[in-house]
Amino acid sequence: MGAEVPKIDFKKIEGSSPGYYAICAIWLIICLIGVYAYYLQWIYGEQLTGLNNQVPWGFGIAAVCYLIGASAGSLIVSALSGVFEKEEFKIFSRSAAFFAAAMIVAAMGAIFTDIGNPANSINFLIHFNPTSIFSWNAFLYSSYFVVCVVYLLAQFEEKKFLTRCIAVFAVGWAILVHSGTGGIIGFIYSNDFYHSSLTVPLFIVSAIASGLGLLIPTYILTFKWTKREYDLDLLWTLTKIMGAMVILLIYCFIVEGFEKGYMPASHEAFLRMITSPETPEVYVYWIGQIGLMFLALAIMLSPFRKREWAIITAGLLVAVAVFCERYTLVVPGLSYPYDIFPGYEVVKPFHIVPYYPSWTEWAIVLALFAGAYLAYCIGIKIFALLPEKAVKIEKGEVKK
Amino acid sequence: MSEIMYIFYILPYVAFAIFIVGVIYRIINWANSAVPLKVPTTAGQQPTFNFIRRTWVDKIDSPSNKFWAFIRMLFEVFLFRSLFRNTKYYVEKGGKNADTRWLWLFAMLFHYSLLIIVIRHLRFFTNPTPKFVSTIEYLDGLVGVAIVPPLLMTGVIALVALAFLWGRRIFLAKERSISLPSDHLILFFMAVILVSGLLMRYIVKVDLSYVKMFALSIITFHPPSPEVLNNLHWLFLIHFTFVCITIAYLPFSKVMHFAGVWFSPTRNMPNDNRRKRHVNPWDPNPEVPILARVGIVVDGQVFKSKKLDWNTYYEMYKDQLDEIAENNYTIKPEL
Repeated sequence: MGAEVPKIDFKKIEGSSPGYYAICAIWLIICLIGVYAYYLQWIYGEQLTGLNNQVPWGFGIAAVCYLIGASAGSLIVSALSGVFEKEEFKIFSRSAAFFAAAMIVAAMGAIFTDIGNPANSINFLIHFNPTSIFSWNAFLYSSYFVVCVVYLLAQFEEKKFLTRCIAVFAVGWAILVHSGTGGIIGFIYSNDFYHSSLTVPLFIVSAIASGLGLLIPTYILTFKWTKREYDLDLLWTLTKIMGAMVILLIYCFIVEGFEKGYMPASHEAFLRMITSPETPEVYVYWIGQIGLMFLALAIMLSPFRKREWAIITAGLLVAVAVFCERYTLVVPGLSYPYDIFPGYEVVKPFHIVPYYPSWTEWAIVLALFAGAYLAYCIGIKIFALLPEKAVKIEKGEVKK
Repeated sequence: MSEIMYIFYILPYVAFAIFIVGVIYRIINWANSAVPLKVPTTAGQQPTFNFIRRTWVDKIDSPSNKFWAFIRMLFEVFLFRSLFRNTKYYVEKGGKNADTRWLWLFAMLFHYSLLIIVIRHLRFFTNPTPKFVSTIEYLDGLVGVAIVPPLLMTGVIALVALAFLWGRRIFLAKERSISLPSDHLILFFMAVILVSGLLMRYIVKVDLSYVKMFALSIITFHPPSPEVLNNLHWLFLIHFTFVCITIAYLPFSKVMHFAGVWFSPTRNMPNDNRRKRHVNPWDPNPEVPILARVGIVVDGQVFKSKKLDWNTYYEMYKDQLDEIAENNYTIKPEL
């Protein structure tokens, strides 16, 4: 891959077919339902959610972790050409960066809707605490969005050197932001369910997996429906990266599972979590997190792996599995009791508080996803994000 | 309360510094740009024989001197005359020019509403509020007195006009294809500012006394007290931050047309091509006319002249001119 790469034509989509409007309408309806759910939550308070005193972090926070991860993952895909000189992936650089920006907005929306009263959103500044990772994350997330937008603008202006510099910076920033998010969970020392230094790198790996899991089906369907020529080999390369990430994830789960099952402080709770169906976590863990990942891996290794439907299915399965992973990361640590004062005897019976997300939480989280996809659908219509041809170009000749 | 809230006090100064330096840089850059040719676009009768009538509209549209060019600029800046003439060519409608003066209408509404909105905001930055500001606000709210606080018309008009101006770039295929991301960006900033401002006035009521104290502290260079900073509403901070971002972004954006319009050569030059010699600033030797230096090549022969007099002209086009004389100066069109 040298510097002599033919210029790629990015072109806006026509976006006037009934199918396009139908897709936009579906996203919009989901968004409106979410807005209504948030309105109800604003009026009646967070009693409408399934959250309680012991489990204040639920579906919404899992969605925050997931969306930030997907955002960081997309940005890394976008930077494949800029940072790693994989010029054949330059065709995705704009749309993936746009996706990253949309996802981080959705993630901030998830935080915003989770904190209840919107006026609380300014508290991180009024009561700024320099030793709290939450205070830092507020700056990291908002600056990350700005970095995404500047990166996009530099790409639109075709400033090659600037794009490259910002791409390097943006990838570093994405990893920093994502490590910060992982740190929120992993650095809680008092909760042995949370406390793990493996959480931070695990976050990055699952970020790449989930970002690719969402992007690959999105790209295939977009190119198919806009009748643009595309090369499945390119997407297969991305799928292979995703597969490697999934293998790495499963390995980490095994290591972490053994560690948590072995540690005296958490082994009882962990064993209860993975064996007894007192809370839905056992299904989320075995079926959602582990099962779907193995299923996706099986598809990616099967003889049909290079078919369109197989790649789409594998991508979606990984995307869902990573969401389940985020869920099992956030919720069980609260749902299962932990030692608040280690070394002391606490007069607190060992009891499990199950958490079931209510329909408002589902509606809000789905609306955030739908909002990101609606932004993508509108974005490819009004910005030149997508290439006219998504094919591998090698030394001036088009590979069939 | 933490000291970090003071970033909101520093932010406007940073934004204004970027704005002023950026605007000065761009204006100097434009002012230094050479105008090699005289290129006024005209849409009226230029001064010629006395018996050819010339109305004052012709004087504006085809200005013969600097005064009328200035008058033309004023019409352009305050009434958007060239936008008023804007038409759109449709092939599918039999090559007809469609009337697109609605764009002019909404541009006018948007710009003037914005002007009045900015003037109204002076009530936050002055104490006591000047009479004309309260008068303008009173007149603005005259139609919408049915609710409390009175519905200010300019805010509503600006929002509607902005919706049209943005909708035009999103829903019309031609405009969408030529719209750049930066066009959407500035419209997005305007939308956030307008919507947050309207929300603060009508729906999520904000304690304006703190806002005014904050604004006065910025104007008077006295850092605000922690109490003021603590009581600023989050919606106000969004509004304020976006205003600062927009101000800092202006020098890099197309909004610089507020200064650029004065430098547009097709507007600011008088149409006196034939009476005054326009010296190309790139010309290294303007004293000697180009004809005397370089000459004109006709039929492989070079003709040099201080000015193009009849003798040189006759020499240049001898064959054709003789042929015309032979035909007794009757010219038949070639069929």
